[in-house]
Amino acid sequence: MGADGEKDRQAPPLKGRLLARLAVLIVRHAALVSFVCCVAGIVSLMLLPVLAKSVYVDENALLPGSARATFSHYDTLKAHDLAREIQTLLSSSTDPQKDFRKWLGDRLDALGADYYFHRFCPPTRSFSILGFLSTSHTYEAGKHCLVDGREQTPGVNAVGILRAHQGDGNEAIVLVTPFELENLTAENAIAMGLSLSLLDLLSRALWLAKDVVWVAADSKYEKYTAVAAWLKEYHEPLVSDSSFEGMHYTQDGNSSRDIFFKRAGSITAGFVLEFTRGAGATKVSSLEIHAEGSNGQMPNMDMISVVNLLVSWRQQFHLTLEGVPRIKDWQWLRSVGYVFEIVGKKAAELRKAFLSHAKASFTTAEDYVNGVSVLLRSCWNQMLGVPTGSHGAFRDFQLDAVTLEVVSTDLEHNMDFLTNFGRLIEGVLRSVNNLLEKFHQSLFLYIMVSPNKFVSISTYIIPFGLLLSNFPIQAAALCTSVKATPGSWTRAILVVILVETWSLGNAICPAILFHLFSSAPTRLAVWILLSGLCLAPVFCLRSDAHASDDWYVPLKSLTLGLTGIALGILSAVNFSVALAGALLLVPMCLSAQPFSSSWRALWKPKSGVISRVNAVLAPALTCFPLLVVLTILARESAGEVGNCLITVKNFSLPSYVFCRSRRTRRSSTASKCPTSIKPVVRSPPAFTLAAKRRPPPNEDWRLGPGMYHPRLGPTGPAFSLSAKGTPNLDLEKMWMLERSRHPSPRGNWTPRRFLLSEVTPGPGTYSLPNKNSGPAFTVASKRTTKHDTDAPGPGTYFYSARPQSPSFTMANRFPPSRTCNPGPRTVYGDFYNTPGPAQYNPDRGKHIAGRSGPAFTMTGKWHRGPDSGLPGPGTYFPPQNNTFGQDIRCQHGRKLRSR
Amino acid sequence: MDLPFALAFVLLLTSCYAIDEDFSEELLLRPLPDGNVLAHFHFASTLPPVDHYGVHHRLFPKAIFQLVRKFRIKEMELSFTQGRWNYQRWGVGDPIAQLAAKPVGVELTASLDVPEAEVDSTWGNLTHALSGLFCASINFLESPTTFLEPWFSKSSRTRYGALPREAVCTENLTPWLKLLPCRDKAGLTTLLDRPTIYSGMYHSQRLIITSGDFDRDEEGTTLEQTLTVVLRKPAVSEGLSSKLQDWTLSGLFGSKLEGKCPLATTSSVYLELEESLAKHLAGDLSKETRINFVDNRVFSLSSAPSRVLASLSGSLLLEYEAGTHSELDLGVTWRAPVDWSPARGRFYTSRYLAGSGNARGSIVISFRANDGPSGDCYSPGIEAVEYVDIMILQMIPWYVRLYGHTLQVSLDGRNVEFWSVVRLMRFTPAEDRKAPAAVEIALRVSIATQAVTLTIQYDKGFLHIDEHPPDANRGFDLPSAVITFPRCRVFKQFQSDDVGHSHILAVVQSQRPMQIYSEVSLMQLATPDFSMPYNVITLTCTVLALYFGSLLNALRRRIGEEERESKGT
Repeated sequence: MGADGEKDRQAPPLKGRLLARLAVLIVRHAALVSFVCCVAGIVSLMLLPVLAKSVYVDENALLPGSARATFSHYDTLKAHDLAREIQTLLSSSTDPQKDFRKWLGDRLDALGADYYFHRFCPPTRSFSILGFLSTSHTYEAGKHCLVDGREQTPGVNAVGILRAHQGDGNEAIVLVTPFELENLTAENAIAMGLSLSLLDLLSRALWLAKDVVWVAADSKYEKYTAVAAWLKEYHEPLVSDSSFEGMHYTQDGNSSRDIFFKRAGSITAGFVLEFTRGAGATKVSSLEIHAEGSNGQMPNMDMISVVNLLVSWRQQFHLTLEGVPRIKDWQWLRSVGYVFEIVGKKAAELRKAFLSHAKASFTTAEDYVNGVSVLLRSCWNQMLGVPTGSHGAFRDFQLDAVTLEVVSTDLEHNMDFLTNFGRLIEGVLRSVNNLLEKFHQSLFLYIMVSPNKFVSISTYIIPFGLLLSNFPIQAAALCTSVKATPGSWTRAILVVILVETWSLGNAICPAILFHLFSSAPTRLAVWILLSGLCLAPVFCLRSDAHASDDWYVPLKSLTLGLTGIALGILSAVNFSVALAGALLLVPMCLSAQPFSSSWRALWKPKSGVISRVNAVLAPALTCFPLLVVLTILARESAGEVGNCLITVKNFSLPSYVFCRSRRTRRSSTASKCPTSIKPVVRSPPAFTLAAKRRPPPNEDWRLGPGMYHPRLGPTGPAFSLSAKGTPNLDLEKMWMLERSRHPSPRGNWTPRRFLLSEVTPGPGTYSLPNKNSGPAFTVASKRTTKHDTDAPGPGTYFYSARPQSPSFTMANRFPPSRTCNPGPRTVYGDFYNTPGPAQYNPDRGKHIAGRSGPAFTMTGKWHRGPDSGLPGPGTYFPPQNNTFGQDIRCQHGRKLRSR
Repeated sequence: MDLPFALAFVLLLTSCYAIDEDFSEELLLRPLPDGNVLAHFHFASTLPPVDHYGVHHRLFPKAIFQLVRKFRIKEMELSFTQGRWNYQRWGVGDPIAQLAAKPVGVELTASLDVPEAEVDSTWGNLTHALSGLFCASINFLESPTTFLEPWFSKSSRTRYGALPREAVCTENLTPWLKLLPCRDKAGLTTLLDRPTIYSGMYHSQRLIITSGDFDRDEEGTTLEQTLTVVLRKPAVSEGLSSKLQDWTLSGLFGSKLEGKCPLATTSSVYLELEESLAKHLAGDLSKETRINFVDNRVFSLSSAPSRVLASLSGSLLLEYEAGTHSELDLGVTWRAPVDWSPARGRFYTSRYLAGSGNARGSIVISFRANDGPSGDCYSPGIEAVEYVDIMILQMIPWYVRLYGHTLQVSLDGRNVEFWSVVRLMRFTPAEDRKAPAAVEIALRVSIATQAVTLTIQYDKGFLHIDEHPPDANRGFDLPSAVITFPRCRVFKQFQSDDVGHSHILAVVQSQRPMQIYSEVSLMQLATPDFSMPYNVITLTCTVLALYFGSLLNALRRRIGEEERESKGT
């Protein structure tokens, strides 16, 4: 870059318009600018866990936690009983398949659910590169399936559809419980028992407005396959001959026509419940959320926030996200975390000093390391494009789903945990049931940092943008630095086109050639062979014009520009891949130069330090991706090798990046690794390119309209003085009744039932009190004690909760004041300064004169104030002094107002 | 006007016009196999032919009379429904189920005796009048995109429209009750406790008007009001082998039946036992009089019926006179766990949308043969032994762009040549923002057919931003398909012909083709992010400004000139 510096000095002074001048300035100092960009990019990348925002529920209609869950210990006991029943049934039966199906069918029938059995075969795995050239999978099942050349029995999903009473059957919520009949673990049995127990509860629920579909997914082949096969049949039914005979399975195994595939409207959301035995001796049961779908797609963030909200509200779970455990041992990362912690603390103090309301929050080093670990894992999953569970099958049909995985060591004895989990699922289902629309409100492009923190696209695009900006800057700088020799640009363009075409052909060829080879290993071999050939023409294109040292500059400039564009496009498709690509390609592309010239530069006595360093670094950096590939290959299990190859191959040449972006956009089938168990599923990706709504400035996400979180349990200071049966005042029930009396605030398209009890009094209804329910007076103590929650009471109104909303008040705004657990109808705001009706206090008026707005009291009530010496209305002073006589006569007929 | 004269006038009036007006109230109860109870209220008012317009009536609601006169309604059926009729569990092929099962929301069919050219405008006015009368958004049916003229109907002056999204609640029930002479103050209507009937599993209220020829005035006008509710079984006790639960009128509705409406000529309660249930009572149903209904081995009743009617197919109707009992609290207590299946049609029918995403999909109507008893379906003619006729009427909104050439029929999983199965078809393509698409197909398949599937593919259209309903993100409802089996007649013939004045029995006896409704489906269209227009406008404007700015700059700038100028200065 020394040469650049010389040119700078010789360049004419800057002139022209500001924008042009700026561009020239940037290009002239390209080395410095790109160095700054790189450093800033890396730093802001490191800062991502610090910049993460708290999750919040964006869709207010979800009303999470607005009703108390009714799942009780009784239901848990029932779940245990059912689990035991399954296990004894399987151990005693001679034909477990048949008996189990019969048992399940009877159970579902007793619940009033429609049920059927769906038979499927795993798709034949074919290794292919470009998805859109191969046909989509079929899960058609005949009498037998051909798996790896052997005949095997097809998998059978059991499906029960609980039709909502009074629902119109337009929408459905799907609950998936994977199970494996041949190898049923205790956890698996409990998962089945819990699901059935939950279904039993739901079958009695009055609030259900959407159908609930329960899929017991036969994970004999793979969890994902079972769910994908069912969803495929649900959305793209086969009416072909073979499917008609084989698709449907009845309880006794014969092909009775009575039980066939049934549907339940459009699917709103899916939840996969998995129970696994935790490793080691840790007794703590925890709940893990998996959300990454195929090709890095994420479900709507509200799915995760609702779960997180319900978990954090009840505080009974340890909610975790999958992370990279090794990272936690990295001391350097921890020290970086300490640095951020110290800086964050200082910043918080400063902020507090200037803004009195600001919350002093900062990320501790521990949080930071955990955040990095989760973030990396999330990015890694997105980059691989392999769904992290069977929820990925839902995303392929543009449905939102998450997996809730319970990791526990002794579920059999952990009664409370199971009950809480049941309550959680009930709460989540109820919340989704409240939803009137499909999930559309919240983010789709985000990366989780911790269960309650996320990084949205508006944040994580910044480091990427900084890294990406190197490409155009360097391309422009190279472009201007070289003296255009005739033909050099033409030659560069020709080379790039040639390489691109060759790569494209190379990418498409295997897909075509694969039709000639049937076995997977042959296909892989062909693919590797062709990929290797890909580099051949590059070596053939030897430079014959060694006249100048910078013959390669136009080529490099062009490649840089193309790479930048390709990465930019890719970031919209799969951000993690693009970010990884940028991290690899930035050093590689910027330092690329012919070996011969760098060699020469190293030994040339005249060359500067920068040139020498550059000469050493360039080959090293160019080889870096190769090293990464080898490292990944060595570390990763065989199952993911194929994917890594595909992923990495995409970076080996910009052309591949380009191909990849095309593929991901258009493809409709997966690339398959022969050795892999997990399919790389590709599906039409859905993007939201729009900026999403920002979270409300108030950190407390619970204060949305219509949200109500009564503090349950003994914390509420409520006393019942009557012969009422319940010792605790059921705040929630009161609120629900309150709601039911008022018209539904949510429009009248689909009335949802808010009733807790079956009987709601109609107009004019009068019921005589029975002996138990005498006049019940509830005396609640004044809420003066401080509780650790800010949950507002029913009917609470915040003056200043949402300052951004248009609010019209005839008085001054008051700063928000904090009170705890207010009573019903509490009016927040300046609670003691606001005059109540008929209240007049001139004393207080003095104190608040500076702050209060004009207060109007429309009443005749009057308190005698202190004697201010002013005459009141109607006061009459007979003239004491003759000097006033004239004035008084003049004001004849009017009341004396002032002296 | 002096008093005697006025009295005489009133007497004259009542004697002239009120004699033949008639009102009857009936309630039919039926225990359902899944433990729920079906209650079907049937009120009928008849008006003899009158030659005056705006005449005073004693019983017949004037509002309805004026409607009939003004819009010259020959026949009209209006239904408000909430919930789904569960065909598999509650029955298909019997007259009551036929009457009860209606599509979700509002459905209106009207046959108007006006000149062809005026039918559409009269329909529009009628929807507005009904909208006001029943506090519902029936006026949305005025728009030509929401109704159609069924081809298979009796006359060309019939219009059919449905609003699947309409929510039904008490505000629709109150005006409906006001049409009854006793309102809900006396008689059977006192049972209509609002919370009870609205927390049931199914709720459908209907209004059926039939009137004679307007020019000759021979038949008069009949108004039938029916309300069908399926009430949830009382609280389930654990571990019961049977799903059945005991019930009583007071337990179901919260009150006993006290007396009758004094203005009603007939006031009766029926308890219907389906044939598969009645078979449990006795092997030979011809001896129905021998059965002890009050106390037998299957169930016991709280009171003895005044009359027992047996149909030829074997079902039993126990009749109770509401007037004779001072307090009727009919109830069933089950003695033994019985299991019976409802009358099911030959086919299990479902209509669903296949495909995912916002671009395209297909509508599938599938029929799967039930292997149970095919129900009370009387099919006249020899052909019916070998063939099943199916008629489908499907209205599809214009924003669903159908591809007619993709219409396919498959029998038992095999695609067959279209016209080998389809006998008649009318395919009316939609006009954007003007008319919905209508597909009417008459199929004839062999009686041995196990599965019939019809598919048609569509593209989803785009709506203008102001055409979206308030909750566009919920999706758009596709109205139910109306499926008729014209050769399958649904009726019950009673052994004794004496049905008296009962309207409900008359309905049960009348022969009608079997008709079922498919589910309402929800279709997701590409919905704009309604909070985004501002962002889109700003972004678009910025991009346009940048583009045009730089383009103009590049086109208009003279670099050589500038350099010369800069050198010159």
